[in-house]
Amino acid sequence: MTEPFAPGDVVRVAAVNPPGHRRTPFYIRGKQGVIERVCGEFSNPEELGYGFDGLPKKRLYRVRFRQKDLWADYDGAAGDTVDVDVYEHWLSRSTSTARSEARRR
Amino acid sequence: MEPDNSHLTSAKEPGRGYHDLGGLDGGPIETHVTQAKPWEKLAVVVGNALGAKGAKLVCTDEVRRTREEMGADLYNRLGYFEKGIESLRRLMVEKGLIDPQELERRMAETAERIAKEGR
Repeated sequence: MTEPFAPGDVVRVAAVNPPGHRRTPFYIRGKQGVIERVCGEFSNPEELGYGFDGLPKKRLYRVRFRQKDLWADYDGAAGDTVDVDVYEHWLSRSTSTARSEARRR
Repeated sequence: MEPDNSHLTSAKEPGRGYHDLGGLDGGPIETHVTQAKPWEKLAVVVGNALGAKGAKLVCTDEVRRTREEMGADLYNRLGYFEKGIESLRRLMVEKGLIDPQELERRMAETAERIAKEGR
């Protein structure tokens, strides 16, 4: 079992575009964010979508991204963030040592 | 006339699904609110009757998945409630709960009756 992430952990979303029903929006794939909270465990929608029971349940996290990390042409405030709920199997511990602005907010 | 919304869902980036619109420029928002049509209400009722609050024959994730399988052309052509009905039709056929030929026949009969009797 993967060690669960904790609030403040820097994570990266898998940079993959697999076919099938996926709940991770395109615009955060491959992007780095910070765990904002653990939302709990839920039946896996990527399995439920095909009539399976969605078990084992997957841990869901709220991940905070800096807007300027997501959009090349973002011209809002540097501290602007967006929170997206992401399942654990889409996340890996980020190897980057850079601490995100978002973490300090 | 069908709205030309191909600019919303055409694959601007390789790997982005046509249904995955987050961050794309969707243009101005239509703020004019209209009364739901009876068939639109029925579309919701049928979905509820088949879903988690009813017979539990389909779940939300299946309904989303079938929307993502209908292809960009159909997805862009159908309105919100039409997508819902088409998605349910596909799931009912997939699960063997309705026969597509019988559905076509019943729809043709209904269309004929409406043409003749007006309802």
